[in-house]
Amino acid sequence: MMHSRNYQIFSVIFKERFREPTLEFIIPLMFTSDVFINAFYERGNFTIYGVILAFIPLISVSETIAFALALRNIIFVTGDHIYRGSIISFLTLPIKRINLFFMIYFSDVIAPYIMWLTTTEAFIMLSGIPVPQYLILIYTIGYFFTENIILSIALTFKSAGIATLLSSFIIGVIFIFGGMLNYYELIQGSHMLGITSSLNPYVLLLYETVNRKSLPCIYEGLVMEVMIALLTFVFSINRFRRLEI
Amino acid sequence: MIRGLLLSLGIMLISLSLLSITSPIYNTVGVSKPYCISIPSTAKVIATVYDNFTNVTIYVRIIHGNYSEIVRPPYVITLTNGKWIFEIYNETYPETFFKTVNETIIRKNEIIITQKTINFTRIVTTTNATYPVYVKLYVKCMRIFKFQEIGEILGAIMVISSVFLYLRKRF
Amino acid sequence: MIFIENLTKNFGGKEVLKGVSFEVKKGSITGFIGPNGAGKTTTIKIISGLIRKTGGIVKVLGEDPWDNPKVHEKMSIIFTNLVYPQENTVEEYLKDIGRIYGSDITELVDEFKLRPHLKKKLSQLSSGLAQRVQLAASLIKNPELIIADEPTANLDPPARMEFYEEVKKLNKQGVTFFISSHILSELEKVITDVVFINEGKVTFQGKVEKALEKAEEEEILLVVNDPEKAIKIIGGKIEGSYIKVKGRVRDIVDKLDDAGIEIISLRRSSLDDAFKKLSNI
Repeated sequence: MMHSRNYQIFSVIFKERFREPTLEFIIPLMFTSDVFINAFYERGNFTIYGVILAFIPLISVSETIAFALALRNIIFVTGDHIYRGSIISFLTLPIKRINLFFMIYFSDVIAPYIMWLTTTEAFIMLSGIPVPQYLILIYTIGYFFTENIILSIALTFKSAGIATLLSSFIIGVIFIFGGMLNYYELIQGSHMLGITSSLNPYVLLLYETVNRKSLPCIYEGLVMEVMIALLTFVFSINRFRRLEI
Repeated sequence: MIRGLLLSLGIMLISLSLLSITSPIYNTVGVSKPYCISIPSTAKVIATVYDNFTNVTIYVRIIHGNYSEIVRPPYVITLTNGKWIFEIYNETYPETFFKTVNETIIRKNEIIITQKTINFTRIVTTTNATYPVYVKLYVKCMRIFKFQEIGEILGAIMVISSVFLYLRKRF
Repeated sequence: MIFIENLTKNFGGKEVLKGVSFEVKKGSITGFIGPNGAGKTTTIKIISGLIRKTGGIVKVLGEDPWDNPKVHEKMSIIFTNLVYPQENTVEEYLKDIGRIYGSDITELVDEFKLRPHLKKKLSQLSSGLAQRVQLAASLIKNPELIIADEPTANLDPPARMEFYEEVKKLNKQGVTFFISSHILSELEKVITDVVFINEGKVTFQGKVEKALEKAEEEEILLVVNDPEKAIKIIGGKIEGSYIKVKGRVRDIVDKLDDAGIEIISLRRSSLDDAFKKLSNI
């Protein structure tokens, strides 16, 4: 069966990021590491508190794998091509740059997310643990927020080392100090929670569970994250379209 | 790639279907207000209800769907799948009261009436619990999958498919 | 094939191309020559659609090459080094490109004698072999135009000769070439037209013969059996095993014949000389 040219180009790009045995290793690992959901659920006396803990990035192994895989694709595959100049072989293919960008974005960012989503949903279904879907939504928004920031950094700084350090620093500061800031705001009863909740919504989720109080500022934070993700995405598209090698 | 992926996913599904978390977990919860816990079907949980060994006698009501029982701690029960509620039914304790009574003493030529304070103990039963009761949860084991059979069947299908694809490629 | 008029390019305020104009005709093998920093690679990258122009007109196969899939369908680009992810094997590389363009690579593999090397990784190839693979890959899409940026820079003389033989063969089949190179002595044996560029401006464009004429008084390089005697008769200076002298060929040959000096080899002005002249070196 003759596939279209765009499909063939996509196939080359995808295959380059996920050579054997990457998928055979990553997908079962993501699925298996979801046993921590059972463990945290059990530890938390079968309450939603344990489930939320299990879904915090860095605690959750499968979320961390998805994030790390996308980061490696962006900086050490696509970024490497740009830094070394071998992106030329893709830029001289008979395809519009914007289409090429979307193919690269799908392979780098969306594919690891789909792997995480399918394995997590399949595990939730098979294990029967009542995981609220808003946890999936919160991770989704956070994932695209961080990966779009990393992509815009990789396209701006023409060095893998700088891109890695800067990305790690920025994302680390946002998540860890953001969490501390949220905790402080909760204790002090401050009104800045609408802004700071975009940095790390998990602290607020735990607060909601423990105190059985609803915090509407979580939604404000999520909206801010979506806006920043979209802005950085548009920035990356423009950057790639105007890329000169 | 497909063959390898099917094989690894198949083995993983079969393994997870057969496995469970067996390291025991102990949690003790102090109950003064009604305590509710939802037990999943994959977990084996044993609850021990005990009091704090004072001179108070507590009765605890355990509710699970249509089942309701009033028990006196210590009490052990295996929790099955579903929602369980532990609440204090009543509390019984002795309370000392003081009462002033008139005591009449009759002698040869006179009658003397004196006032005397005596104490007596009364058993009080109340539903407003003062002392908490403790529920110790022992999670014996927890299966990974609720739908073990689906996991096993899917896993087997994937393994067989990968072997079939391998053999087809080979021959 | 390629039409460029008044092309300018600035990099961070510095003007690299200052109004470049030239044309590459269909069916020609055009050499693009200039000293280091003249703007050759910048011009080639603009033609290839890898860099945007600041001003002017650039038309490749009738269209602007920037972000234009139609141009890339019919144009191939060859660089000094193979630009493709290096962990791929030769077979994977050629098959990937073959699938994209819907072509079978078997014929090309046999024609370029790549069968014994198919399982090697691109990073393991020698320069000559990598260039052969690049050339084979560039032909998969049956291009009308091939642009080569210093394609023989890393090659030894036999490999360079092989490359140029292939160029001549493909040109006979109708492929137009636009080649930049420093190794002019070999390039001049292949090209039909030449464009000289210096300091961001074109100093000459046209047929090779006209460029050689522009070198004015012809410089002749001779190898004779008695150099000291020859110097006394015709003048000039000894450079290595050559005598370099300016003058008309007929007169010089007659003088040496009369003196009984045997001429072992004679070479007339070359592109090197035209290059120096037109580059003000």
